[in-house]
Amino acid sequence: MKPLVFRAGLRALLHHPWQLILALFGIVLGVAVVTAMDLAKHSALVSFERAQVALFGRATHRISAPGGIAEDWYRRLRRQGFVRSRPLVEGTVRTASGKLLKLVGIEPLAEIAFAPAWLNASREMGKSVWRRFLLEPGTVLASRRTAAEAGWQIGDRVPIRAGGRTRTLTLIGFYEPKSAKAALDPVLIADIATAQEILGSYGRLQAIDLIVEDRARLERLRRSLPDDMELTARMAATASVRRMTRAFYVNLTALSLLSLLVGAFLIYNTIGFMVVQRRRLFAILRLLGLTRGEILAGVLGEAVLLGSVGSLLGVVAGILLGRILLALLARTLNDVYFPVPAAELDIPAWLLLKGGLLGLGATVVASLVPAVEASRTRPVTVTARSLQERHSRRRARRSALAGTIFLLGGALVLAAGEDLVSGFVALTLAILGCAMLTPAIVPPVMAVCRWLGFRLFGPLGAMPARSVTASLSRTGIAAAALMVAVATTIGMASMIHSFRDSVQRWLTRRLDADLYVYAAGSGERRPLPFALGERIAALPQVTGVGSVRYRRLTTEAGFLRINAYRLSPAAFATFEWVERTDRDPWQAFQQGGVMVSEAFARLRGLHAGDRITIPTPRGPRTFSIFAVFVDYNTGRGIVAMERRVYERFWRDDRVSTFWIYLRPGSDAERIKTRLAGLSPDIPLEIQDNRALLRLSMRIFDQAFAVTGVLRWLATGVAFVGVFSALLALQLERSRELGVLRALGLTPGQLWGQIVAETTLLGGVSGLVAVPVGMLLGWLLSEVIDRRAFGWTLEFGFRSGDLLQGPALAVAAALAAGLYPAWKMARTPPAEALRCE
Amino acid sequence: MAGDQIVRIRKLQKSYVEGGRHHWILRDLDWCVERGEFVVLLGRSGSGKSTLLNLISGVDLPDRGSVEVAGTEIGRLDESGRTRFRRRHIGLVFQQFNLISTLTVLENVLLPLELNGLLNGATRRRALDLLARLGLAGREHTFPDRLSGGEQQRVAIARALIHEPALILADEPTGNLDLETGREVLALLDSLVREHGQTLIMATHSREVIGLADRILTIRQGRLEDRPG
Repeated sequence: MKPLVFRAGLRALLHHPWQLILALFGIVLGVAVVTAMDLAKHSALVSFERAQVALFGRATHRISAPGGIAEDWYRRLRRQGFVRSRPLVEGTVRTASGKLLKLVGIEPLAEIAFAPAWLNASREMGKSVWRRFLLEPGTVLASRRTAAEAGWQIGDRVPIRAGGRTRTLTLIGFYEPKSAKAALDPVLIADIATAQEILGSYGRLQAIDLIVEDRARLERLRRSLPDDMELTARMAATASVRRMTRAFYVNLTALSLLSLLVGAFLIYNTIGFMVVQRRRLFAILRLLGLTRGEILAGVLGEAVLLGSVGSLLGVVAGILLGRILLALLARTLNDVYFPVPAAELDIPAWLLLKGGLLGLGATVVASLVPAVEASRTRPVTVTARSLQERHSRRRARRSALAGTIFLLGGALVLAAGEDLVSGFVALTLAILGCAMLTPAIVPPVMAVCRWLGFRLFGPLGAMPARSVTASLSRTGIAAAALMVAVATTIGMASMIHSFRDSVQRWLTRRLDADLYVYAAGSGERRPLPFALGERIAALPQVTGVGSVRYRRLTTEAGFLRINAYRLSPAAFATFEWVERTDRDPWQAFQQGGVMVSEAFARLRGLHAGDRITIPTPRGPRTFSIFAVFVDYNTGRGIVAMERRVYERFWRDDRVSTFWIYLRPGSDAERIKTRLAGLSPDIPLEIQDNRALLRLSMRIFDQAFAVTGVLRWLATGVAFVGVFSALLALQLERSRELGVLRALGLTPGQLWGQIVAETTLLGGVSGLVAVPVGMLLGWLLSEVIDRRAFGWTLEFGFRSGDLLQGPALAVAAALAAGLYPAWKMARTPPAEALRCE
Repeated sequence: MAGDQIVRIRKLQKSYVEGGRHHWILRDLDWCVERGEFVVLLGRSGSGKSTLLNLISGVDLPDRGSVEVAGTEIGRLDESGRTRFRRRHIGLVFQQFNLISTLTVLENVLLPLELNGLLNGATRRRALDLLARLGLAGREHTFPDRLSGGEQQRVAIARALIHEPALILADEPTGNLDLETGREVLALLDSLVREHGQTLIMATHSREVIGLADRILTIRQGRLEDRPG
């Protein structure tokens, strides 16, 4: 680009620094949200993987069972020649200050073959520490960071609480998980006997790790294991975590990209506005001999410059925001999916580059239309603005036609594809289509406002609406950008609330019993004996008992969960069907049919009436599916069957959860005490349905904390957009407003004109944003979430979400009107008249 | 092109459609301008003077007929070609000055040199000399909005002449100036153009300019009436 031409453009931009800053802010925020989300998601997975490496070391396989493994199995395996094996005990303990720590019990000599990261980094501890660790009971190792946070020093005797008891341990050394970074924080490492004693799991192991390369040997081992013990490859754990979180991550990615899309609209708005402002400059340059290509290159060059600076700042802001999102994300993942150790933000260069390039790309794409428009500036348009405005009205009609085509295209894409990508394409087309329709809606709405204004306040009352229509080349762009920003916040809010309401309704319906009983602890809980149910049923206040046994199976197509129910017809009636066969569901259930969760049905393409083959200890068995049921569990596969059917194939007399129906007026607290006494060996956790609902909803809210933050960030972007568009519009009219002042309008009247105009524009954008926001909410819930999670949500609106749109638009419009009104009221008319 | 004609117009027609009706601005115009001539176009508002200048400069295209400037038929060039031709061979002066408000006086004058790839130390000195001759010494680094109307028009004249185009088109250059300033500007423009042997076609309402022109044409109902100055 020619230096003088560049200088002319740059000075024009710098002439409105606030506009430039707000445009940059749009890019920065958009890039920051996407980068932060990417970094947080990546860091959580990396942290999990590091923890796996740190603890597993060279292990290739793990044997585990839901209720733990008898210690005897370890000795048996070693006798069978699996010498590269190690026992593992794990549990959660609390420090005196209440901080949660993971306690890992190990067999130090068995660890050597596995070379876990923590062991490699602990060689410098010295022989004396190792000797004490091997020989002295009640000794533990901790990382320096864990010790520093708890205020411990070597030699300290530290009280630890687990299972309702307090034990005092001696901290004898530090291990430094260098290669694993903080993956092992906060972990205490103890001798296996010490860990068993503290965790109350005498004679039992959590898992046994193996290093085995011989596949035939592994297969023999797999066949020799009892039903409830599972042999999994180490890589399967990470792969499984990736599969589990895929839908959740896809959803977060969609929302963060939506923020970027809003950001892109702000960029479009700003660049579009800058082009409109400089139309005269472009026309003069065209007269003097600048070609269309040179103008196009110039505007795109500015966009690249703006995008580069904004993206760079956005990436930096993304790193800062990433730390906050990671903390929220780690909490969600811990609650819902998998344990995330104290995660540190991992910042790979490629993710930063991706965020930066996305921002730059979005800026350039968003600038394309304004740049092409700038290049099409005809030299003759250096004359009247009215000519430009006449063109802008024609352009608005053409844009509305294109918008309608986009919307129809979106509908076609939606109908044609069932996958997530087509859902995103339809969502994007819907947003673009509605944005293109907006400028055409402005003139008719303003015509009504003009008529009303004239009736109520005379000619001055008609002026604000007239002014909005008269500057359609500017107000049309602003209204479209505003509408998209506001509609996005409405759409996101509707989606989150529909999700929450659906889950709450489902839980309220399903949690029909009075009390729920399961083994105390965290993670995969120990099962309870089925016979406990009979003892519970014998209690005088109990009118009925139901139960479920959860059983995770590994199949070639991935994990699935068997839910084996024992329940009454009334409890069975709490299931809701997505689809079912003509058979009576209760009869079908009793007679050996199975029902599958909606997510599972979608994932495997199953329908009511289909058949499914499941691996059982007695070989693969085929079941007929009589129904697909509504379920919002995070796992993607549930096959539910009657317990008698389950027992036919699995020799298993245990239960994961009991639920209990009480006589009306029973004292639940007294019954809880009696129930606890029925299981002296396994501590029970007993929750009433209200507490369980509260707990579930708390977990849900935590899971959506990240989404909530994204929603507020999008709202922030939207507010900035509304504010900057309207502020630009008013400041650009300084000369026109100066004329009004010169003609005799008082500062108060001028203030009224400006604020009325911005409010009208904000109001019309906010109103259009309501139906568009509803459409976006519907698309996010019914299409994106359905295709990502496999769940059907009951889509609905809260009046607060809908009102939030116009309120946000009008508030921003008022705020944007204040500064120019104040400025113009203070500026002498003569000076305003000189403004170009 | 016959003789030393710099502009040759044949069978030129131009109309605008408004409210579904054709309004003829120029009808079957045949006309030529000799190199070095100072031609004045007279006519009432809306008579088509500016339209004719736009057609000569390639800013607009005729409905029918042709315009040749310095041996090149403008209508045969594409958009980009017309633009490049204009920036090399034509200098423009407007009633509204059309200076670029974000460039200083000197930068405005240097712009055509830059667009034509002629900007160097010598041409820069020439621009400073030209500004000095136009009475703008010391105002080189001032932005246009700080200048009077007469000063702004003198900058516009410098910008139109600096790259030594063969043809200068001036559309009501004194329309925004008072009588005295208008006379000064016209005299400057006339002397500079004649000094460099350039051709000047000026559209105006002003009768003041008649004494300076070699030829005067009047546009009436879309046709030209020619008479010597």
